[in-house]
Amino acid sequence: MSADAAVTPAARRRAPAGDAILEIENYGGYFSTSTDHAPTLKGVTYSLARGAITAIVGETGSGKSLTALSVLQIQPASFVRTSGRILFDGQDLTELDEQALRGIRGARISMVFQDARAALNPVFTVGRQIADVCRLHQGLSRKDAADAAVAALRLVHIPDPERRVRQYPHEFSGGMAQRVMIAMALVCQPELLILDEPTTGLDVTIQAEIIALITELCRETELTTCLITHDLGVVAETCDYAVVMRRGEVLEKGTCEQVLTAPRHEYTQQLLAASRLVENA
Amino acid sequence: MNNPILRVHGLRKHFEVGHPRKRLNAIDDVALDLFPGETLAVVGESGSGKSTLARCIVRLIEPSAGEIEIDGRSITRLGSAGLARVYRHIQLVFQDPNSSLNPRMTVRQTIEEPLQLQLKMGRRQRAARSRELVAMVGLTDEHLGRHPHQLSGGQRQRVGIARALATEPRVVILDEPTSSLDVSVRGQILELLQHLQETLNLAYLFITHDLQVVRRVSHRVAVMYLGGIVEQGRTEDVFADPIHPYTRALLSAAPTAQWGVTRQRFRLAGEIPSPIDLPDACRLAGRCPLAESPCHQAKPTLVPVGSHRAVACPPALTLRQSLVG
Amino acid sequence: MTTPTRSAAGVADPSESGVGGGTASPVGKRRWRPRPTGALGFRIGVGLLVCYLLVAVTSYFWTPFDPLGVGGDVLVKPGMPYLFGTDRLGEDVFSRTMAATRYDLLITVASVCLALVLGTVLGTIGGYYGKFWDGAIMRAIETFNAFPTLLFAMLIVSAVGPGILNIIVVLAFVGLPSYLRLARAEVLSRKTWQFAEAARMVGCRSWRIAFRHLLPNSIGPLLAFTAVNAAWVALITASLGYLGIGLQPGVPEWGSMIANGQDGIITGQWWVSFFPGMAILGMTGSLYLLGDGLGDRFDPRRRR
Repeated sequence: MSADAAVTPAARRRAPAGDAILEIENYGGYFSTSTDHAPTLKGVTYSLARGAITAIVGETGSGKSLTALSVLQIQPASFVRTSGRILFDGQDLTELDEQALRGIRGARISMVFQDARAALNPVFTVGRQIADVCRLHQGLSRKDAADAAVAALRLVHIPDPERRVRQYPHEFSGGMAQRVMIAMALVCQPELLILDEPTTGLDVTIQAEIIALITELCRETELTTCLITHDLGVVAETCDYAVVMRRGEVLEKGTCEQVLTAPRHEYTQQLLAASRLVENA
Repeated sequence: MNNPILRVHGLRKHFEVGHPRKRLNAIDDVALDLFPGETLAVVGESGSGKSTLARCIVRLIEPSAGEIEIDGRSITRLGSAGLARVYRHIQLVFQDPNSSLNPRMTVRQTIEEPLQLQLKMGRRQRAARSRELVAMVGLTDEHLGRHPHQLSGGQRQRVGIARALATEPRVVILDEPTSSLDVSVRGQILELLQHLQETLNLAYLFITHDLQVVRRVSHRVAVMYLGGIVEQGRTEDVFADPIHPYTRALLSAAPTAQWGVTRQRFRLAGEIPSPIDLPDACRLAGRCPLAESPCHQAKPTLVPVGSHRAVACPPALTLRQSLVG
Repeated sequence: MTTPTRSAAGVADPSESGVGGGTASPVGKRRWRPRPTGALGFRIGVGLLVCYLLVAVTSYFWTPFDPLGVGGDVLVKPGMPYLFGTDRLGEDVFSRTMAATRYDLLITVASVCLALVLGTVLGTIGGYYGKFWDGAIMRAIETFNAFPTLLFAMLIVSAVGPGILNIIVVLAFVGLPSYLRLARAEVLSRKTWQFAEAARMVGCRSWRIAFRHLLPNSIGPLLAFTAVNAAWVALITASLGYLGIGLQPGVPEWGSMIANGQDGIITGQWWVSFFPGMAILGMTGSLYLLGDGLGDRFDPRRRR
């Protein structure tokens, strides 16, 4: 009897060849609170192909999250940019004012964070929070927004959405709360979805479910997705392209297949070796 | 066959939570044997009770029922003085390197404390032994004078290991020792632990949620779900041929960093339920594709299967027999 | 591909300065950030307190005039030789202010120290041992807290009579609950940290874990609180003196000096109340600055 972990070689996944919807060019900066003002990000350059899932891989301190926060210009106030720009559909996001940025966040670019229950407001129901996003960006009436919230929960496979839409964040488990965050991020049908370590801290079986959900949603709608993670297993499962970062620099980038099967940089090889502890046994 | 160096049976732990008071069964009738020189991994997700298990075994948390024996001697009813002596032989390595070391103590002070309190060593002896210990875990004398915030995560974890080994214990319980570390550092720490096990003939009870770690370091594995062991056996056997539906789901969920591979997922419905006020039935019954009516009425017990294997799932076993027999 | 080595010496130091050249200058929009004043305030506070201490010590050996001496010129304006003027009884305000420093400083420091030590010990016991001890200690404290502080102090001092020692003890007891609660909260929050469990595994008994491991890690917030609390105690001391409770009449104390001179404010002899008042202001202010600075230093959010 063969185990369920048995594998079948996947059909070669065609990496969508779109133009780049987001281009980060030579982005660099430092934290003003550090004593020596050593650069935290050094010449970070990568782009996200339209319709594809790109993984940004790195460990703690690699700068992957900081770069992502910079896209939406919500990086910590103590971060000082010294070079580079971020082009979204041709527009430089670093030069936009707060009002223009507000119009983009949630509507054209959405972000999902790691700890869902901490990111949700504990005093409002989940339905209210999702509806607020709709009303803000699409000007829907209260009833339409409420319906949109229920539809959003259904999209992320939360059972019994009409009842759950009236519940508060603390009544959701970690995995469910993450689904709610994803629903909230997708409700206005953004062009770009950024997920910052969406499965870290979740149980293994729940992680698998969330990853499957993300993959399904992104493939169905051809949404450009940026998945930030340190887990190469997740990268192998879902992504078309991969960007490897370490200590504020981009070390390697290419199609997923390329990076995982023929890594050029030594660090990538070490990461692969470390995540394949089984082979080393 | 040798005698087990650590033996636990009938272990239970429940908490009273909430208003009105409800019962949370963190550990429900767990039994295990650990033999000298081997590694037994205890794997489970949140709510499985594995961390509570680690603490109940050393009585950092008092178990509600059950017996714990170390090297044949029961420690279940020892007073605090007796327990302090027992901690010479069984030690714990903690998960979070950031909070498991006292931020105000240097590495030297942290490592020398057990030498002073439990072995009553004099100053010179302590200094010599602490140098020996840091060398054993791959650090240098220079690290002895540092404080935890001057060390990296991996280095702090090495200090935690050195502290645990100070009194030359025979059993070391490791509570997720690599979960808080970066991926690139994990391999080093695991290698160190394996090396130490061989050199010092240590028995490890390795608590983790990471299946790859289990596969790499352990000889036997026990899978826990909501406070009970659902399957145990030799690691290679369990991984090659998981029987219990939860084990199958767990193993099929773990992602592998290999390109071009899709796994067949064995899925369980829903999510892990709350451990509060569980009914007297198989804990997996609500989610299991193999569930039958007896599953909802009584908790299944661990049934031995073949050599060194036990599974608590009558439907899975019957299914297997009908295929094999 | 390098094989991972056993030695941890190869672990990277996060702050590597491998980039050549100087720091690049910021581009883009400037965001206003408030300037940190903690360090400067701290130094001013310490400096002032040291001055007070020096004055107090000096006053034992020398004052321009005898602080208790009566009979000099009455209600003279500040100038030479009476630097701060004289009061209604002809006593030199400057000398009295100097002498009063001893008492106010001593009472403040002594009662705060007593409250700190007692409160911390009791709070640690309550926080760590929990259950019975915690219950007993907290109930006792809640009884204390039922009374408004100043009123409570007044009642007790009136009952036990005047005297420095009495005031010190009373103020210590009145201030105790705050220290106790703070120490208890700190210990409670750290009790579940893994190093407390680890300490038990290496053979520490409960008292050792509580006092040798948990408490030293809580010192920071406690010290910061102490400084600010001391400012409050100084004010209470002066208030008691102002109300005429506590020290024997005639003994120089800022509060009582203000009371003596308060009529003069309206009639134009402002200096009798003014200078003691400034002295209180200075001491309270410097204690606050000290507390603020200490609080900044021990703020866990500050990166080391």
